[in-house]
Amino acid sequence: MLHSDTARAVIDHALFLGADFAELYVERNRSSQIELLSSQVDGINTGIDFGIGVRLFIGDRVLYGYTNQTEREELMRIATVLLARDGRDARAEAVPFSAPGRIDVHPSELKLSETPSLEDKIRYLKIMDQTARAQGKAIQQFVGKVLQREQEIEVFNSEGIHQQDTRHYTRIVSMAIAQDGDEQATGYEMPGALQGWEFHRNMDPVRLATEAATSALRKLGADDCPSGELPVVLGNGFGGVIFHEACGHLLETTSVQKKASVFHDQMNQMIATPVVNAVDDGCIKNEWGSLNIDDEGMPTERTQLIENGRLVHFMVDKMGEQRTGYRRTGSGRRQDYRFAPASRMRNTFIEAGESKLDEMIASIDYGIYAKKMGGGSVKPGTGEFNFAVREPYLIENGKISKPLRSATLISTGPKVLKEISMVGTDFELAAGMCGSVSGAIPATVGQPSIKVDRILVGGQSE
Amino acid sequence: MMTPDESIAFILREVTAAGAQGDAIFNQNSTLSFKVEDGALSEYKVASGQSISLRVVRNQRVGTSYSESFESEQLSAMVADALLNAQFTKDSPHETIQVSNVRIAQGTDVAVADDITVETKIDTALRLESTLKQKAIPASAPYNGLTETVRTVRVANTLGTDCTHSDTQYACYTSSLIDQDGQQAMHYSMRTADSFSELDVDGCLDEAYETSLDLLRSESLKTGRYDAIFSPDCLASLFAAFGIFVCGESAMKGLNPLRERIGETVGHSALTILNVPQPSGGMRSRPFDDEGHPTQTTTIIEDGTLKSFLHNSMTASFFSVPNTGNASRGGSGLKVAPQHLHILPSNTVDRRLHEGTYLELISVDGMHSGANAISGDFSVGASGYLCKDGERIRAFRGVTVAHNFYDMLRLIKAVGHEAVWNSRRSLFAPEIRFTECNIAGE
Repeated sequence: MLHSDTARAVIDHALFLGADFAELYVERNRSSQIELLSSQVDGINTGIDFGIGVRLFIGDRVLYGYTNQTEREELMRIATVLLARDGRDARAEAVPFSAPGRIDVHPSELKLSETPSLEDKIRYLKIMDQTARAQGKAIQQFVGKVLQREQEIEVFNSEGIHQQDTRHYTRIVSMAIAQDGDEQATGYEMPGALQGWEFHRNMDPVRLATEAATSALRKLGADDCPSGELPVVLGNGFGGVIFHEACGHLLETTSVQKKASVFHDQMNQMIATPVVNAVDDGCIKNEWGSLNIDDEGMPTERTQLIENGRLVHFMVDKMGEQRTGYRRTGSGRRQDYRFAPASRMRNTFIEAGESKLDEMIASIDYGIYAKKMGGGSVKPGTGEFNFAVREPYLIENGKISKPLRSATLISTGPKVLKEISMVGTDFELAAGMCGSVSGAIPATVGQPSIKVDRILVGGQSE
Repeated sequence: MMTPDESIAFILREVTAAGAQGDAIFNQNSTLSFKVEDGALSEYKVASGQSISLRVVRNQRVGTSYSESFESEQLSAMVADALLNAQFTKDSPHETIQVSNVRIAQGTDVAVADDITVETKIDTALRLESTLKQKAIPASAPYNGLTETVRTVRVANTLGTDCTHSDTQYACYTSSLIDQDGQQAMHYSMRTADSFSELDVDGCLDEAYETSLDLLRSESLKTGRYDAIFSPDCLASLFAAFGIFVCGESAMKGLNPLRERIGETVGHSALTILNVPQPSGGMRSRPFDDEGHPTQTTTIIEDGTLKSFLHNSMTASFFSVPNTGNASRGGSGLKVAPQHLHILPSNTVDRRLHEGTYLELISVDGMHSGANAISGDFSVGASGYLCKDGERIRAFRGVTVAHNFYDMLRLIKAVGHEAVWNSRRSLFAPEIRFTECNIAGE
């Protein structure tokens, strides 16, 4: 996408002006979204994003700029402007680019640029629509979407890196709205993968629509969720958002390096109960949060974060390594060329344990089974987090007794990790989007069902 | 590569040649931003970007596409994609290119390059951290920054409409993190302005520090029902989460819970809500919307009665009502969005506003995930102050607040007589005391 001579000239120019490190991130992003509403194709939108990010280091300082233009003069102008205040003699010497590398362990078959598959996608959405509406007269509306993205990236840097990659993302949205009088309720499923449109072959549209519709129907007439500190069983899959918010963000060097994480000085210490083992793995084949290389051009890896309750590693990008001394983990990620990369999660999960879901439910006299979770957020400096329960059930006398309306759970990371008493065997992953300093990126959360002995449940009833 | 003028003319020509109508939005941004850490700049960002977004209508069908590349080949591909997309969409008799021959050359917020030096801006950014470190109980500022953005928007269509507007926005933010005796508290604060000299940096710093100090000494609350006044930013967050209730587009699609309630009472009699496109003190004001239609003030709720939704040309046609100039398109299809919401203050001082015990909410966390815009239910983390008779008694945090937004519009005890902006200047509202907020705490 960018001639290597141009990249070479810009990097040399930046080093000549005193930069310690120079990097160019070139991106072309092709996107497509098809939306079905009221049983009709409501809209189709496609687009091309293209831009180049210029990142320079002066010591521990990051200088960043971007443009939509590929001309050498424009890129050199950005480097000149960025370094205008820090002009000094050259300190670093550029290393010749290696032969362009291309690792591809996440193959894709039906690529957006080659096969838009519009008719096929519309057919798929219509099956979901018909299926959802057939679940009951109370299903008043169905929204289905297919989102597909093909992201080509190319990274050059002054240390000789020249890497290329093409990432194919597909996500399917199935959302049903049920109504009874003035009361409305929603249910949704949103699976995704680092894969082309062939992803849909493993995603039964009937199942996706049925699950969304039955979830919406169950919530109609559901009782308010109780409030207060209660034992909670968090369902598998997207339940892993608890670890993502409670702990994951606090283990990124993005917050560790500025001591804005409550775990910044806890390496090799017990930060969770011994039943907790946590991993951030960028290598799982075709998984939503996987990568071939990160956005700094480094091959990604599987990183054990917590082992039997003990903190054993952070997620580390290039600047994180420079600032903290911890080894890089291929975790430098960004939404697009508009953002400088930062250490971010990929596929982050608590590993399977030995307990059965039934045993966890049976161990609770009065509490909540949070079968399906929504998103959340965290303040890394204090560890205070929140996340939504979109499908809660009441547990009474060791049994699930009835569905409840949605609620929020809040706590702090250090506290909740020490309240996990049981970890299940039913491990599952789920796709989501994670927003942070370097924008919104695809990230997978995951876990087996887990039991938290006490957490604050914010429901509608006292 | 083509210039913006050439690009717009080129794609509208191609659309016309294909027997279609169309409109294009051109966006251009230049940004200068700084972040600070340990007394020095940790990030210095200089950026420029541009994009063009196209909507075509042919045979009553609509397709959209966008491009950040201004090469003629890419622009032709964008037009072809939009026309192809239109072949597969539903018949949309109400969505047409309607805004004819509107020409607005510049808005009221003319972008003027200021004469403030970069060094002065950097010194200001450095202050976002150093001031907090110099306090009696020092605080760090792990997240801070100063941003200057100059933006140009141009809307043109095949019916001769061509409108251009530029504006400048400054923003500063900081987070005060205090770590004392094993306890941590953090509060984030932000300010925006359309000129550098009007940026309230001291107010941003004071709010962040004083609040984090109070939160450090905070306790939880007893679980129960409370009256609550949301801070301007919390109120803006609440109205943003449930923004579909003002939109004709969501009503048209059957997603707006108030869609059948025009002319009915939906809120307390003290509640009047307007959309105001170019208010004094607002940010990102514009005299035209994303279809090029002139913007206007619209009354949404008056004395508790739902008077109108906000409309673009499509939803106005669907409901056979006037277009309110609220088209919004971004990089995709035609939508509706408010410009600035105004909640009118009371004409008189209502003593019930601060009477007895109530909560002042200063932070709500998780509105993006804990709110269901269709059902109106929300449950989010919260912090703030327990108040009595107008005085803050103590700070609290680590609680949740849950309610139903559509019920809240009715469950109002009192409305203040003075309106203020939220930090992003999107909502101008007085204090509103809502009843029956469910708090989960101790």
